[in-house]
Amino acid sequence: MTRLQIPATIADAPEASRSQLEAVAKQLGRTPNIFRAIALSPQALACYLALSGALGKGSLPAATRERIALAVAEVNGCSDCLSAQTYFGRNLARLDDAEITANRKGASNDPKADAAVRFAAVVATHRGHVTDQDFAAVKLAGYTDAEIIEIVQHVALNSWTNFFNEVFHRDRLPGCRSQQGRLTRRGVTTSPALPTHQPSLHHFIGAFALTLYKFATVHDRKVFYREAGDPTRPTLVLLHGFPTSSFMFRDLIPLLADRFHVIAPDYIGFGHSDAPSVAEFDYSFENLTAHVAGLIEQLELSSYILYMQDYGGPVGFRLFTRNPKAVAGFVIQNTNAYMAGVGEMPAQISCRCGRSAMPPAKPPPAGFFPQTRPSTSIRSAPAMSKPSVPTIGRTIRRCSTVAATVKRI
Amino acid sequence: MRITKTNVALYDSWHQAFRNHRPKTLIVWGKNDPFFVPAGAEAYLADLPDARLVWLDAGHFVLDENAATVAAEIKASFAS
Repeated sequence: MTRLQIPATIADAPEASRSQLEAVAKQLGRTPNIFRAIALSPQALACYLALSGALGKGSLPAATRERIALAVAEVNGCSDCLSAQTYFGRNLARLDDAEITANRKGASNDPKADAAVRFAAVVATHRGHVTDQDFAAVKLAGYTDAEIIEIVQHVALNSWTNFFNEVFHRDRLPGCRSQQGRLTRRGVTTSPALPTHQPSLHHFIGAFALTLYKFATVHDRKVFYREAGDPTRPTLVLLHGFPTSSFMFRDLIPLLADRFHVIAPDYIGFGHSDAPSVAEFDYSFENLTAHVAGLIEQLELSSYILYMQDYGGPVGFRLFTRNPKAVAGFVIQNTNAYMAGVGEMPAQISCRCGRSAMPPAKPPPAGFFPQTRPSTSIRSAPAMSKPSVPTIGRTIRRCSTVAATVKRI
Repeated sequence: MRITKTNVALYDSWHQAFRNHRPKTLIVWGKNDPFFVPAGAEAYLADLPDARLVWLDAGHFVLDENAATVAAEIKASFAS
């Protein structure tokens, strides 16, 4: 867990930070966690934005700034930051793998950049105690005094970001999950468009290519969701089915994150979201939808494509009829809006749930339920005239074997 | 089943909304799903005639084996 109580929204941040966060939201389409975290100190946020904004307009090329960020993150041992910087270097600064490897070793394959990166790495490693030879080398490469001053300031800014991530728990901050190996294997090759303003904020856009695991509080319940991709790109909201959770999207999300901003929530009673008892919560589709709608509102998503599977349809189509103009498209996968789509299996399963009035069930097709049959647990559960959380929980746990999705995040 | 009935009661209003707003639609459907049968996929075309329908040799949990195919279809339809 994070060591900071990160404000969930701009409104939850200290008043003096709100206008600054609104400026960030205007640029990025939303306010990443790290900005809301820093916002706990309005002074720190103002300082950070001013410094990174000004340096972004400095004389060092964007690629060299990224090379320095990689070198400094390596020196400071912020492995999680390196993941984000690797993505960022590859996709925004167009650095190849050999160059990124060189940067992490405090060098560059580009002769001019090499001097700047070496100097930055020495400054970071020796805490500013550079030798005359170090200084002469960077001067000899053609860097002006002004540029050298900027290099030192980039070391300081990147060190501050590295330290911030390390001190205040990295897992909740964008760009700060240890997925570097996965990132490398995946070999992200597409190149998101470079935003033309405030390049200093790019770090945090690029970082969203990694899947982040987050919680929001919606109508007083904890809602878990996965998030990936650049928030300035079109948003895809992935709505899971029964009996599963956003876990069913674990393979799809990284495949989409280079082109979309992806949000995949767990409904109340599913996955990692709160699972109140039926005495406390009516598990109707209206209520499941209300929490997804609340999350969408909290994330300030004004336009999104809905991916719907199984339960996702009843949730997604309710979202659509509430606010059709916000829905930019449908991806419909095995979910019904027509009676023609209802197979015989639902009736067979339902009569195994304790409804004595239902006709006897035929056994499911051979091989449909490998190893374990969910009907075994459903039969021992109370009648499902009102679905109970224990019933849903048992069904989910047992049926997840059917879906071969027993791994947890 | 009780909560499922609340959906059936809304089907007509959903169809009306489909026709009114015609959202761009991609249907990816595991054709071996005994719960959500192929006729349910084809039925959308009555109200969303421009939808692209892609059959997959899969069951209910299409993404377990077809995440790459589905991602490619989504990008082809929606990526800018």
